[in-house]
Amino acid sequence: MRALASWLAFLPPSRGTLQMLRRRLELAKRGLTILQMRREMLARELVLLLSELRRRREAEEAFARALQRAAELRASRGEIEFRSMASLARPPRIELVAVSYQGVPVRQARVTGEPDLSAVHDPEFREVAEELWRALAGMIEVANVEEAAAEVGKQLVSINQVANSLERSVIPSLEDAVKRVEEWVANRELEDFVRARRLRGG
Amino acid sequence: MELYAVVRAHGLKSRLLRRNDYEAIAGGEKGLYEYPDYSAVSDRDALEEKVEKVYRVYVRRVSLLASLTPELSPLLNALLDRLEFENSKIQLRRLVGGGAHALFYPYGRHIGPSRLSALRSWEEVWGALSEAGLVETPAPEEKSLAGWELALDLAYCRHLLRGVEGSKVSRRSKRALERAALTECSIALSRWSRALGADAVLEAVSGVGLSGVCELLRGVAAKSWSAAEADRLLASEVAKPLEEEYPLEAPFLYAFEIYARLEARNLEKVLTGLHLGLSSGDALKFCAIAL
Repeated sequence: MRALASWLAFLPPSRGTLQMLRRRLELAKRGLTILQMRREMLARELVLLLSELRRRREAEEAFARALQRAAELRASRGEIEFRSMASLARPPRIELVAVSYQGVPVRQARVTGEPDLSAVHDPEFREVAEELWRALAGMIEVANVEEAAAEVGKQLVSINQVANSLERSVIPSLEDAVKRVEEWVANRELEDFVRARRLRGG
Repeated sequence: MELYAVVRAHGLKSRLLRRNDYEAIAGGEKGLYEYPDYSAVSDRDALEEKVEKVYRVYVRRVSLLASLTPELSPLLNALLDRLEFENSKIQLRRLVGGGAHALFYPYGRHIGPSRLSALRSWEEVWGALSEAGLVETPAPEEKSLAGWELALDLAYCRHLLRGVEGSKVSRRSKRALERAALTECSIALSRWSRALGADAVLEAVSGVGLSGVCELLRGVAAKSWSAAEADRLLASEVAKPLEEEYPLEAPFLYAFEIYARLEARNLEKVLTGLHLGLSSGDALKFCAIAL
């Protein structure tokens, strides 16, 4: 901002400079309008994401319950049987993909393959494994929303900084500079007019 | 020798852990290594090492009794052979599950974990059991893991009953041992009714000619016992009556084997519970504490 202020202060006052400054001011104002619209869009998206994050507590509780049940099953069957039965469950396939939230790229975990529990014949093990997977899938969804909220929030902060800078510093500085150069140009025009009248024999 | 073995079994039974011992271990007041039989179990051991050492104690105790009584060794060895059948199931699960590292019971009178872990199919596993004389029939044509495991459980029941049959004890003792073995088998097999349905289990049991088990199983097949309940039932319905009715005869050895087996299982559960950070109460609630 200091660089802009010093650049503006040392601009040679002329009609050309005035035209250039007016173009820049116009551009800055248009940019600000666009950024304000984007800020609103992102803010709306963030509010939506945050409302979805209310499920987090519920998902965490479900996950904690499922873990506790799995721990109890492990303790009730003993390590040897538990480990042996657990080896029958084929893990889910999860991939990281980039998803756009209002144009903000966000890394998201996508379940591309459900866990295969078909070989787990013990009903108790299967129930616990299914409950654990449901809870884990819920946690993955919450983690995706959290990641999206964090990225959208980061983008919002960055846009806010630029918009604030335009609104509070760049545009007022440009307006001041335009005003200053306009006054100078007007004075020059007045001087030229007076000089021309004198020359015409006034 | 039978009486001598029974007296030794009484001595060994006096060293088994009691409720207050389990409470002290689960509560962290005492380390397992403080009990002479488990002095090899160190706090620094990984869970799987601790569990393995605990089962070694069980195997050593029962093997000692089997070596003392040649007339009862068929039964005692058959009881220990349960671990070979369990290891076979573990290997089959490993094969189906994609070959993850498996934890085996430290027992291998016939096959052993190292040979078992090199077997690559149901036919090979059954073949190894057959070579060892643990099964007498050709491999059942089962396609599912549940079918294989049920076939192994049925084969173990037959092996146990052969062990009872092969023991040289009085007719009275043999009848008691047979009844106990049938009850144990029916408790073990009834757990399959949840997975496969009571009718399917009864059909499988009658299909292999275990008529005694079938009769008992009819009464309990519909029950849905948890692992802990089945263990408690084993103690109350099999071990306790044998201990009370035959304190100085061969059946007492069977009762002792059950108590020793339950101790190993209880310790495995307590150690697993402690490893998972469960409370003392939670770690103990799955134990079948018979003494």
